[in-house]
Amino acid sequence: MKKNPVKKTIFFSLIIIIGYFSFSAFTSHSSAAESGIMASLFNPFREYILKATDGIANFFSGFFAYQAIKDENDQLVFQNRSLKSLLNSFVELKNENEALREALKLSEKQKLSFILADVISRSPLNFSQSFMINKGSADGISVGQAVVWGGQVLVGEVKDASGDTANIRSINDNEFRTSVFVGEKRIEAIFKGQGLEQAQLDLISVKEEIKTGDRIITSGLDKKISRGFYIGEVKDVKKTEGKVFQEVIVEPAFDWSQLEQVLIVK
Amino acid sequence: MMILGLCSRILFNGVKIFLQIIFVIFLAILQISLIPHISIFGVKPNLVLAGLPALFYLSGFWEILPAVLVGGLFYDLSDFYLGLYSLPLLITFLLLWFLSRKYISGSHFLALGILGTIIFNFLFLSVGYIFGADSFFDYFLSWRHLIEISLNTILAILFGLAASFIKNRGL
Repeated sequence: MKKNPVKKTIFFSLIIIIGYFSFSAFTSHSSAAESGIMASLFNPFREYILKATDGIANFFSGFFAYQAIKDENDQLVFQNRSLKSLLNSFVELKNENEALREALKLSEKQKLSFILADVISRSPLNFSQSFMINKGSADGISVGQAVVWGGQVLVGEVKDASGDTANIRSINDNEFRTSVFVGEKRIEAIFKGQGLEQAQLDLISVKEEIKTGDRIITSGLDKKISRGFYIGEVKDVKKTEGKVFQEVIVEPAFDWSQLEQVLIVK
Repeated sequence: MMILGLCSRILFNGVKIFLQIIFVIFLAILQISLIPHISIFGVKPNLVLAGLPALFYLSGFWEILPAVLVGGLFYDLSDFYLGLYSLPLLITFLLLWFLSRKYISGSHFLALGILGTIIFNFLFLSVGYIFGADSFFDYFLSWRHLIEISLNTILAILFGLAASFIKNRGL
């Protein structure tokens, strides 16, 4: 077994092949990742696997989350009734807002265009909170573009893009950072993904008043992600004596691992 | 007669390798579908990594090589880079093979589970760190990593017990 040259040759050939693909993908300027050959070869499998596993996952989730779904449903029914009652006043506010804009001759809000993409796979282990979509650089996607869903709620940003696929870093990922405004006072802060831990806001002085439930939107000050995308709301605030900054825990609006489609902001 | 014996041996080994691959694909599908729902403190065990030591014990390194590659490839398909998971997985089992020849008994699933998880995660995160991710220490030195090591080891022992049962029964 030890001195079998055929097995050794097969083994080292496999290492060289895998090493080549890894290296070419990581350097990202060489053929494998950029040409989209690998993407066109593997995307059908990715989509098929995700569809199959999603079916199984849905089956299991029914068992594991029955009580949570029931509670959530009760809560949503209540919220829906409340929102319906609020809708009328929002329509009034909308009309008023439009009239004021006209009066003040405000410039129209920056118009954004979107690319719709399907999620074709999600990272299976603990290391990263990322997913892949079936649109890539051939469709106009480039690194750093914001990824949103459900009425301009920020979901993540484009991490890598090849011909027909792109890898999206979700806002929960350890590497995700963006500048944000918090609450009605629009307090500036940095939003940080924390991987498996809950996302946090950084660089908020203990002197600032942050409340649970304050809305968090992107500020655009980092010139990376445009202003006005909703991220979530403040879940918890901790002020420790002697510390310059307070610890603010964030509840993101979306669970990225449940998304099946996303919009990429062009 | 000799040729017939050789053919049946090749066929037997082929079926064995095929069954191992099916087992690993089954684990990979469970990893993607079931595991996110039963994660502990958000930590997902690595089923493929935990299941492979049992096959390693039953068949040895050379025969589980295709299963290691298929398991890695399934994980690769869920990410952007081909080889990102399969290469660390392959090197992990190569190292475990070297260690098992000198220091660890093939049936010592506690050691295989702990070392397998540490080596695989170290290799995977090192690759990420080399290529610009600055979150290497965030996960590797966190208590969540200890939970993952524990979960993988428990699963490796359970799979190992099943493998021992199969081996003792001569199945």
